[in-house]
Amino acid sequence: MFVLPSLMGVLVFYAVPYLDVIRRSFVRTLTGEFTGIENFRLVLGNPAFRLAAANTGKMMAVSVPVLVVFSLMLAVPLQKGVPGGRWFKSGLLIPMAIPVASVVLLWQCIFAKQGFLNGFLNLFGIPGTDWMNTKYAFAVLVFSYVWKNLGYSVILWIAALEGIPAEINEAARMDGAGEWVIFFRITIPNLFSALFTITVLSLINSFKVFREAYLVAGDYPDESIYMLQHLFNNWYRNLDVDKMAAGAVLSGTVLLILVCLFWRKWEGEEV
Amino acid sequence: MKRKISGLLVFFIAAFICSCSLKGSTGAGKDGAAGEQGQEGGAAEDGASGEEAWNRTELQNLDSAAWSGALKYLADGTLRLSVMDQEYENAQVLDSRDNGESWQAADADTSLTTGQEYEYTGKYYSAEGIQYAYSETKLILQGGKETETKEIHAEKGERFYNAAVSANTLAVTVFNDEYQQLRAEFYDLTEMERRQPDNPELLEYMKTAADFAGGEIALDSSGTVLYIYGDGIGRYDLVEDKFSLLIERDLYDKLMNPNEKNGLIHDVGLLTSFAVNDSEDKIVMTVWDSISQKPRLYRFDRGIRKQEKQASKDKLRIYSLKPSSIRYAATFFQEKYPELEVIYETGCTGEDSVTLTDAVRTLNTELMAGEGPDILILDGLPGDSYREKGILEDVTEIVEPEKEKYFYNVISACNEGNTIYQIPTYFNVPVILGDADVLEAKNRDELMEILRTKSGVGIPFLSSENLAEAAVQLFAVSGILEETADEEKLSDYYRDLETIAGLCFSDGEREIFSAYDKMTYWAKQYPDALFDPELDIYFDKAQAGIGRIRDLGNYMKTLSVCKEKNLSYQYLNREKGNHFIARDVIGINRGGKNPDAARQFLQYCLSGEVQKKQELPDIFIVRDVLGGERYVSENGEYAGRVSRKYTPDEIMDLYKLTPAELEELITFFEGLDTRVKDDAVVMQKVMEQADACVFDGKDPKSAAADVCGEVNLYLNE
Repeated sequence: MFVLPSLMGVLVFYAVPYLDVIRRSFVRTLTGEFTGIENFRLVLGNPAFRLAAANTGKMMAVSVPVLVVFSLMLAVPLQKGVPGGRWFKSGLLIPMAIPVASVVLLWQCIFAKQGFLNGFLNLFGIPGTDWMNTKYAFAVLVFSYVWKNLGYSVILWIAALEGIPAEINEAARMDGAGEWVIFFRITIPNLFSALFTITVLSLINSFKVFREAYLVAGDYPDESIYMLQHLFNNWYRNLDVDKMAAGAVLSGTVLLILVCLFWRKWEGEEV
Repeated sequence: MKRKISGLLVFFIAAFICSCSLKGSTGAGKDGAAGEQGQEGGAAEDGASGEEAWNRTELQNLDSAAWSGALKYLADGTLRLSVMDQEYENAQVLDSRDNGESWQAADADTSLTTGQEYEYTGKYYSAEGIQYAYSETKLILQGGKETETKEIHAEKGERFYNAAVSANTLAVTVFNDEYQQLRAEFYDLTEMERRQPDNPELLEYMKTAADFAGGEIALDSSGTVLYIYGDGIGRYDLVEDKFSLLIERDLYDKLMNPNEKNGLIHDVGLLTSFAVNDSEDKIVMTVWDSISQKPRLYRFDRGIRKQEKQASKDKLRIYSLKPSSIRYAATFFQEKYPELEVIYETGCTGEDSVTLTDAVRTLNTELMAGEGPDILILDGLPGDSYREKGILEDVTEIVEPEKEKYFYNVISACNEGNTIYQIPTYFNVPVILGDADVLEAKNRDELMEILRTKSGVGIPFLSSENLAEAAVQLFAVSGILEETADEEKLSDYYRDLETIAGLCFSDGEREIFSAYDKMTYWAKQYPDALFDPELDIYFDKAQAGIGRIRDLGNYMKTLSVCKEKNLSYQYLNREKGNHFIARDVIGINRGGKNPDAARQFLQYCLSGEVQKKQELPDIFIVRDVLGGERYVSENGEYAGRVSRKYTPDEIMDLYKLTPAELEELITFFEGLDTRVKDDAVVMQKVMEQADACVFDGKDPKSAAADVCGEVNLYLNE
């Protein structure tokens, strides 16, 4: 009974709409005519979808590992207690509190053709570039994602690190193990459950990077940062709801498979 | 206990969800599907009950009047108007005893106002038979034939702006060049004694009046109240020395805005004169209609918003993404069917932060929710996509039975197969004007060949001002844009454009070429931006021209230059089809709430009634509407003259079309078979790079690659 409110929320706001999306992916939305796998065939044959899916996959493949590794590298010394660590931790959380619109404004100031970054580079005689409208846009977006989510991941890592009993590390030290050995043999294996959570959250958050890309570069950004959400957004303009539904089912399925694989891997490690 | 608490919790959650959904449905019921963005306007009056309003009425058009002069209410309520012909001569004074509904010629002496050539900018006849005329420096007035003519002169560094005469008062507004300020002066007509009021509120108001189209003024019938058009309509009582606002600026703006409820029907270029009756519950104004180039008369009656419309249950929602001339049809339709509430909505007015994409998204949400408008003006909307998705209703049965009545070839070309979903109410035709050699060219390659042979004769092939229109039209009919943009063809197009530009520009002209004549600007305005090449050819500024046949006025120019220079015109790039640009394309939403009214409205739009009331640019889809005394006569009489935009001294005479010439044009339109694919996003990108090639020397290949990289992603979606 106590889970009923949450369950209802999940059902009403997630499960039922998603089931409806699945239903719509097999029909012509406005007429209700059953189309079989036609919508999926259309979507998979669409070059824009392939590009957007590839970019979204690339974004996940690059940004999630960077975030996971980099946040762990920061969390370990912070958990051990470095001077000014508390301030640093708080500072890392600030990007989460900044509204996306402000972040976008900041990016525009920094990465615009006449922006701060190019101004800085010009000081050293390095010619600037239009960061958001060239292939560098992808790197800027990865940087934006890592910057925004770093604090959250660091906090999660620190919580996980706190959960490792200090006695184990002590015992290892007594047995003559060095810091690296302790890290790789004791700390990392004890962080696997946290790794699962952080990776899944990071994967989901990597989808949200579209907001920044959209606000900085609009409907049609540089090809390298053209994401699935750009495509869905633009499909809606043409009322291509069938394609959107099929695309959503496809991308949801891929995400689900990824999470399941990861879950299975984690379950295996646990055993 | 636990069970009770859980039960209560479930009850509250259920109640919360129910209340949320109820709120949602109530909101939808109240607001209908009006949408949160964009503007409604034109036809409907659905203000709060009892709200004071100025209700607009368009008055009878005065066909004989090319210019309107003084407008004034007399003490007995008669409305008096002086008008002039196109040459600013043949002044006439008209009276109306029913507040402008009908006009009769008044017995008035107009000798003073007809014999002053062009010296005087304003030549008027006042209510009491006093004629007056004024230039910037001098005002003359006369109380009747053989009476003494009085004169006043502006002081040094000052100019007369406007003047009004009533009873024994002459009011003038004077602009001081040094202080850049406008002030009001009054003269007692008996003694010609000047009085300058120093009312601080009036003085403050006059400062703003100078910014508003010359600060038109009007006097009441007793000559004791002055009305000034400025930041609204100001009212100054000469006797009490008191200033107030008759109409505040916001309200005035709404009355003037064609997109607003109760706003003017026509796109107003300028307020030319106005009058206020003595009880101050009627304002009559003449405004300059920038489309048909003639004055229009409107009356605003102070009153209460009509209550019966609120009770009306039948609504017809008409949606247009951008301002469209269908608004006129909506207004006239509302007048014809007052029991129906006609709501005209513009998704993206350009006056707020709503972008085209936002507007389309909102519309799509409404369509998905079954709350969409009844009528869709499909210009700028994904009409083909709507048809494929089953949103548009089949309207074949409305148009097919009377297909002879329409340019049915144009309607057919906007639809696939024999079923009609989209009806273009207007169209225009990209054409090339030139000699027989030029017209031989069936495609751009052949045209380029001819262009090369014709270079070096001293007259450029096209004038430089024609370049942007030519670039846009040549792209529109090129076939470069199919499913995606063809990079190689686009590169060739840019190369050709460079060649054309090289032959258009004289030395140094390219560097100082105005941004408003460049292709990027032209693409932004497409398809509204227009350039008529006829006068360039007529005055030997170009050998040929690329433009559009869009109405009979413009066709008269084409024919005049063709006759004079022994040229002709032809479809542009006809190898790819005989192209036309469809405008104001109407579709009926299959899920609309009022399908009967929607059909009725479509039939009304196709009836030609609107065109009888309001002349609009572009060719109307109904064949019979093409014609009229203004443009066609048995012998092709003189119809007026037109001057070249860049050199106004160069003037070309125009002659009316003969019936045979009109028939020839109709046959030309009957040959149209291909609708121009006018995708605003693609056009914009292509023309930006065209400017880069022509004006910044960018390599055509890389320009084409840049465009294709961007637009093909969009087109692939």
